[in-house]
Amino acid sequence: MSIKETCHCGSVEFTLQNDPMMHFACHCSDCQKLWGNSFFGYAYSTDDISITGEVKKYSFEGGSGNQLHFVFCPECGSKIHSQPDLIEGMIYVPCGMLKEHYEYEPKVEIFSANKASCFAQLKATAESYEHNGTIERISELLENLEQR
Amino acid sequence: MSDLEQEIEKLKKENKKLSLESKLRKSMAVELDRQKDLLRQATEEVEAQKEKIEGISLKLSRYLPVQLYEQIFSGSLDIHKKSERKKLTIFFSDIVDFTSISEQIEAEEISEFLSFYLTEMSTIAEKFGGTIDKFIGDAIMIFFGDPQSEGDVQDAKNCVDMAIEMQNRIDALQPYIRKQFSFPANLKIRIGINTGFCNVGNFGSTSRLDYTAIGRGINVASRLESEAESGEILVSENTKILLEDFFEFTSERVVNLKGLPHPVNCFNVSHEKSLNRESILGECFKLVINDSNLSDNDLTKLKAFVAKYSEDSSKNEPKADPN
Repeated sequence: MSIKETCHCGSVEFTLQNDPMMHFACHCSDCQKLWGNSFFGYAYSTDDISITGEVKKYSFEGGSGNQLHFVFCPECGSKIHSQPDLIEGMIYVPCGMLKEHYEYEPKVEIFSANKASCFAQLKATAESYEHNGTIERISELLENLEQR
Repeated sequence: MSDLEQEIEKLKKENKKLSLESKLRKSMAVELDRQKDLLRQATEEVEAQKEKIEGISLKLSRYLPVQLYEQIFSGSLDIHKKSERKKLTIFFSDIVDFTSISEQIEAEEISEFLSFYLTEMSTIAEKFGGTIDKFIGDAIMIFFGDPQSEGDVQDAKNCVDMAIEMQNRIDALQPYIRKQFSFPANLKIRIGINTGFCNVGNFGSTSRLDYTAIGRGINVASRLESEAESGEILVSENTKILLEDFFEFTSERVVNLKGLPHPVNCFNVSHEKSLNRESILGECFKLVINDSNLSDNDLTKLKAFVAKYSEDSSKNEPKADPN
């Protein structure tokens, strides 16, 4: 399957192949600042996305010491996805972008100790880590990859 | 789409999958390495902190009584507990004519001598389990009975045994001290010992505490030390009463101690080591055996004495009721 979506103003258009490999939430301070609150979204392979239109990229060093890149529309500021060097080959797309296509049900949340108290009980969350949960998330991604 | 094209698409998809899998596995290996590195760093930091704390506590240990240091570092010391009333045996000593000796020797030598002297005396104090309360110049205050006590009698005995060993050690070191520190005369110390109830615990301000003992018992020991002759161990009657079975006490004298309303009876203790005596106290008898000097004749008498009571023990048993 293939999904076509745009940023808020429509200047950037992107297509996603395949279903998301994981629904997850990240409550780290960087996400809270850059996404406006915790990150709620999906993990995709970098091969799954293709973008048309001009985008800008903002990169910085995350808590692990690896770079994290944010891709956004320079017109309206909508963030299309982020891309961590920590887990090579993956991008994260916010769930708000794909609201028409999926019911967001995060199974994993990371940096849980940092989340706002109103998110205390995310309904479907099965695994909650106070750290970056990277090893656990990669294991799950590998499992999900088998089923593709 | 032809079969061939479909096959190519399938292979492309498979290839992408394999490529992503390889990237994910690589990321996992990198992350594992990073975490291992973090763990190693954290372990190193903990080790460094541990070493630092051990270094500090080692330095600190030299400023505190051994027993107190052990209580602090085992976590058993309650600093909120102010003080307790306990029966202690208190020891004071100082060097005879130290002020005039200090005038005749270089300051560096005095400082080296004091360090040597106090180390020698502390080693003996630790051997007998004394709590070194403080050094005041050449004077030493030690007490027995807190934080650990072996009972009034044993605490007092340990204290007097320690005092005797100190006097004997000084006699033995005399030639070395005269040579090493250019001492103008023989080194002599005077010792005062008293047993009595004192308040012992943490005294001082909220920010600076001193673990020490206070009370009349301390003052008496300190005054006895000033009264003692050169080379003498002077003990109060309170201490003597506890130790009559163990030491030879001579030359009873009554002294008026400064600041105390009544005169105090005190006794000189012979520098002989404590006698190897065993005693047993019953309601109607007291038996004291000095087994270091027990002759064959004494032993025979003793055996006969004990045998008499073991043979006749049946006569004390209640008679069976004839009815």
